[in-house]
Amino acid sequence: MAEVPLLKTLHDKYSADGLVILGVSIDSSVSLANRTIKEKGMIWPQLVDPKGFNSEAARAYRVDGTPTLFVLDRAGKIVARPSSARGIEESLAAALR
Amino acid sequence: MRALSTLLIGVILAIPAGSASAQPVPAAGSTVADVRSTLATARAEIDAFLAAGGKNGAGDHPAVKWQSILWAYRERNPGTEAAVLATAGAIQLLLRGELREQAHAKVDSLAADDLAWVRISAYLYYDASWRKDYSYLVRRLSDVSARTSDATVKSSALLALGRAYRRQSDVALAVKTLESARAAAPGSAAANEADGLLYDIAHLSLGMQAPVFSGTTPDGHSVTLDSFRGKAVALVFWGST
Repeated sequence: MAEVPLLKTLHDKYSADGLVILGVSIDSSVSLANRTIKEKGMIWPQLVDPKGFNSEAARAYRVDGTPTLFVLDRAGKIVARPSSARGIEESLAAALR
Repeated sequence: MRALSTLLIGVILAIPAGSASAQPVPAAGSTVADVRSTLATARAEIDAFLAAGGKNGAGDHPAVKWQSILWAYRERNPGTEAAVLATAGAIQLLLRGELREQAHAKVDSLAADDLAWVRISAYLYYDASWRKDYSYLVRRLSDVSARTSDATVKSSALLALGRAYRRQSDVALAVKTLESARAAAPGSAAANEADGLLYDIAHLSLGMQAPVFSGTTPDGHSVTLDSFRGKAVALVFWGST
């Protein structure tokens, strides 16, 4: 999770405007996921599932590698699929409208 | 009878496998493992060539030599699984070496039922998407998918075509082609991949309503995506390693 510092910056900068970062771990070890969340300081909402890549969420979004990112607007529509966390911020104007 | 012939094939395949490391050039009667070993040797030599300042597309590129070794092997062992791998490997070495004229000439020489198309369709897609030029792929694979009588070749060629149409933003044609890929060889790897891409187009394209799901937080609370409606959401799938 090399992208945690950048996600943290986005969290601090845009939470007040209505951005939620929702992390979904694909670790099949929930205890490993929980440890990473604590150690890396991932202070935004997280979902963990021992099914990993086969969890309901990972299957619904066809996740086959990490990170996989989607940006959703306030109505729940997909506005961007950035290839890395660096691409999230440029889609936020549309997402937070 | 079937059991006996299976046993004989097993014995025949087992014999040369042990000599793979001593013999980089696959001899007649070689196995898939021998061809893999040859491909590994070829890739290592190409890596060394590039590391020493050699250029892709150059006439002295090692891919030229290795593809001819692999092609000669193919011609000596027609119709075997190892020959299929050698054929596809030769094409891949040429494409990666940006020796496209040679690659396309070899590809053009293949019959529509050659099982090497299963792999070659994917290689042509990777090369075309890297170059952002789909003209050769569309021309060649349209022809192969129309003429082949092999279901897995047809499905693989249609899958690569469908992906190419999608990259070119022709979504309607991509959907129609991927549906044909899925129907051509149900249960095959290509059909399953086409099925996944059709789901992606239908549910995960920009502007679509994001699929709803529920999950569990580390402290055991149940959360659904719906509960964030009214907020913008950056959905981040991540792994510890």
